[in-house]
Amino acid sequence: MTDAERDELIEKSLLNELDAASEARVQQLRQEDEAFRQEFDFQEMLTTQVRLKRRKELLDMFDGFESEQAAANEGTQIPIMALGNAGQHDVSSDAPPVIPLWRQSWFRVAAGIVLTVLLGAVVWWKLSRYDPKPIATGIEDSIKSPLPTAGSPQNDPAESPRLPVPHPIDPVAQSGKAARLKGPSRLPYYETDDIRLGFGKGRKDREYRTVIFETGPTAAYEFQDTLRVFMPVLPAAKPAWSLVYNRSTDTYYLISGQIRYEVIRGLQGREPLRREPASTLPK
Amino acid sequence: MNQGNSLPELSDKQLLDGLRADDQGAWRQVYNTNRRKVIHYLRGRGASAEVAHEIYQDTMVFLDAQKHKLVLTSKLSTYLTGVAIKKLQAYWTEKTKEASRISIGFDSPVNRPNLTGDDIDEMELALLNLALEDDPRFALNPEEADLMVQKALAQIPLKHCADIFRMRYWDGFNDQEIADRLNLSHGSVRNQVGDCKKKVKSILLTMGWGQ
Repeated sequence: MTDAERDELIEKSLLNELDAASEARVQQLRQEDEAFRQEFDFQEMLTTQVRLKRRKELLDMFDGFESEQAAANEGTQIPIMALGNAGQHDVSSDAPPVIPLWRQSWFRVAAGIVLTVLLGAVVWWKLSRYDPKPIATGIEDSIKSPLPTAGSPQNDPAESPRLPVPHPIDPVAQSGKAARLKGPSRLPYYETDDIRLGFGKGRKDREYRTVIFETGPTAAYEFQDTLRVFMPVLPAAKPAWSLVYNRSTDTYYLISGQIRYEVIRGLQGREPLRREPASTLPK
Repeated sequence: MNQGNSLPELSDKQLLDGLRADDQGAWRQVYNTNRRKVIHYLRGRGASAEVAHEIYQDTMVFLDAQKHKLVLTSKLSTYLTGVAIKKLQAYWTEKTKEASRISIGFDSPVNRPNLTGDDIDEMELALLNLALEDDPRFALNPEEADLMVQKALAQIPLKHCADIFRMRYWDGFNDQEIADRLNLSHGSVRNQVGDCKKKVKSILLTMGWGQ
């Protein structure tokens, strides 16, 4: 082995560039060959010192940066931006940096939750008041007022100028569908004095009223505090029903599309359902 | 090393190019920009201010040794934080070993009958960090350095000897890579490495080395 070959072998050993067999040979030579061992020790020391020299250069440079920062920050203090803390923060210290409130993760998560809840509440509120099928359209002359109670003067049967007038009962459509509306249903409730029972664009029901649908031998209703509707075959869920109060005639109407039944509140006993003549329906 | 006082905000790639060219301004920006974040990260994992500071500087030294072969696949700050965390893990592993004085034989499972699950974890962590721990560039004690060699290195008359030594022993370039950088042939580099070693050795001999 020439000196050059020996030097290269030692150098690669020190740089971990040898395979296992070559490395084993180097270790063997270190044990058996004194000249090889001395050369290995020299090169190992040289390698180590070259690395230490570079390391020291770097650490000196880094310490210089630290000194520059310390000098730059001397007398320059940055006010704390976090909420609730008065005082100042030395930026040269190793204390955790002050992070503005709006950049903190927990604040962003909390804000996201609050916004989601608010958005959800708005959507729910909108949906809960959404009327998918306007029952009529008409001129913007409707007047809304609270639902008259049973004891209010305008609903008192004794004081009401209107008396129930017998009308022929229109036969209820014999659809044969299942009585899906049987029992209490919450129907949208409208108030209007429109003669045609029309609603201005954008008008919405104020709230809901409970109407009980039951099967009975003939189409009839009872209307004290609660409106009870009796039909031989109960209508299906669609078209949707609405309850409308016409202030000008002090009359309630049970409406589903083109079907309108006049119902009078406060009458004693069961009354036949009276269907509105087609001529009064809005065009 | 080039002197650079202030640099505009540079991209990670520009900064890495600056480090490779030994631009001090690039070093300053990298060091100062990442210092608080990395140290904060280390402090958050239980390191004292002193340990965090030392590990951060070690991380920068590691970056210097890796800068020529480093291919950034993430932000430089992320890379530095990862290196620092590995170094902290190695530090804790070493501390735990010292404290518990666990005698572990890696050669055979038979030698592990008394190990707990935590011990195994520490062993695995230590093995993961062997690349860092065993690299003599990052585990040297300056106090043990031979001042004689330092003086000899300082007396090398040819600057290119120091450059060649650094490229070979610190940057990890092979002969061909050094030749490419210095516009020399492979054989010429090999000869110059040999000549430089002889020069250092002769200086050492005049200083009484080996006697």
